[in-house]
Amino acid sequence: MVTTDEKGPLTAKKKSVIIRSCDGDEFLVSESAAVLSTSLKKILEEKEDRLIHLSDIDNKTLAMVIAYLSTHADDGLSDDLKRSFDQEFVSGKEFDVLKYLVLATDTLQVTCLCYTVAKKMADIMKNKLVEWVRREFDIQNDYTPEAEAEIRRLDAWAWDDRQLEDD
Amino acid sequence: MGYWACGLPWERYPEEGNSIVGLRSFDDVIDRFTSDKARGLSLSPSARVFVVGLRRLSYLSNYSSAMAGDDCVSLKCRVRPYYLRRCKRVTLTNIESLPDDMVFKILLHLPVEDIYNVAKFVCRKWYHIINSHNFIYTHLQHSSGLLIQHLGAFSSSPIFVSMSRGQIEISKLSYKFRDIVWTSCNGLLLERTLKYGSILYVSNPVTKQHFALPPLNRRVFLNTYSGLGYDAASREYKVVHTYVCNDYNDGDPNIGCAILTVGVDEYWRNVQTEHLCVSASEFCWEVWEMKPDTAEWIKLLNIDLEARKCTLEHLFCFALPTMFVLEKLSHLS
Repeated sequence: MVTTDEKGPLTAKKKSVIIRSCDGDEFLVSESAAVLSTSLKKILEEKEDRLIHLSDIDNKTLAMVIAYLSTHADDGLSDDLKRSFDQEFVSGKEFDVLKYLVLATDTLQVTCLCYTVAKKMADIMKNKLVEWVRREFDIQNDYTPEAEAEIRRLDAWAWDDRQLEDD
Repeated sequence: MGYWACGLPWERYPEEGNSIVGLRSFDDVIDRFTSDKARGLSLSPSARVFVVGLRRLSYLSNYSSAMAGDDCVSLKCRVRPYYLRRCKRVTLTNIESLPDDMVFKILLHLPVEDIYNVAKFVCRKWYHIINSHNFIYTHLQHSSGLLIQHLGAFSSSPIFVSMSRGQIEISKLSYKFRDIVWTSCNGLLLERTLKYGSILYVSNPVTKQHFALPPLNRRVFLNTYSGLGYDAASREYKVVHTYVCNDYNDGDPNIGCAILTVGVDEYWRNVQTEHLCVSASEFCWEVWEMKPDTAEWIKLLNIDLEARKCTLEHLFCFALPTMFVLEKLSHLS
């Protein structure tokens, strides 16, 4: 036990990276987890700096991404387990949270998570009203009523029987 | 200064003698991790520490010391009321709207119904993203599934079969199919009506849009087959049609072949096939071409599906030699 206590920290320290969020909090991440993000990998290759500052990712989002990276960096987990982890990871999250998450994964270039989150967002968007989408995405309707009617006329469509939801 | 390991927050208070009082768990992530399902999974020892450790201090302290290095060995933390302090998300950079490429990535996963009924009307920018060739093409690559039609009963409507999360989903389209569905290509169907002198349609069963092709040059009824193909180079769809004419020449049926570029050609273009000859066994087709000047026959590429015979038979697929030749012609032209 004594030997592991002496050796463990040294090797662990060598392989760890500190990532600072925009709120100024710091996260200790193993390097094997960090390099799963293409952006972080590039930074680590370029300089020996063990402290990476991410100015556009907040605490909460960064913590989620790091939890994801750490799980995927764990060689002890089977691929099936990682896949079920991915499903669990995005389920039950609010749309707003996912929005920040998808941006963070894009910045950090975690392709796999970006895909999962984008898919989850699309799943939530299914069967929603136009108004719901505009509200959640903070988008102003820039169609004139005439332009909208014109598009509706051009692409006449037949899903009138569908029930769309507003929440 | 706050430290986080593996998504878990704790804070050092050196002036308070580095004593662990407790940890504040990270609700979103942790609740999912520590759900019964996750705990029930057989994880490796280190993972178990991770998953369980999110709620149990004893596990976590072991894990964190291994993870974090000597700074954290026997480090004692105190409860950090994370959410009391930071529950408001005011510090975040305000996202007016997601960048276009993110919208692109999200919309790719949206079913076509939602894209056409909802997403298109959100704003002009989205409309342009959706109508871009790149989006249409990429969205097509994302979708997977088969349109299956019962053979021998052309009148039975095709069903759509797809795989999702390890399950086979069968969905019936609300689209009313025409009399004969010949082929499909990139989600488009080539259909034919038996009424009104047999008109061919290119249709999209999902968007219910359809496009009537110009009438065929001759009124033909016997043994007609049609195929639809996509020419990636010119980004055009082409329809090939073979027929046997009613006007027999010296007892020999007049076999003809016509081709049409969808949306471009107004008339069918007849293709000379006299110099081509097809010899076929059940799963292998040979195409021969005759040089007009020397009258010499040259063998072109074979279409050999012998190796995949089992699969094809298993799927009850069948194909007529003429149809496969059509496919080949559509690639050539």
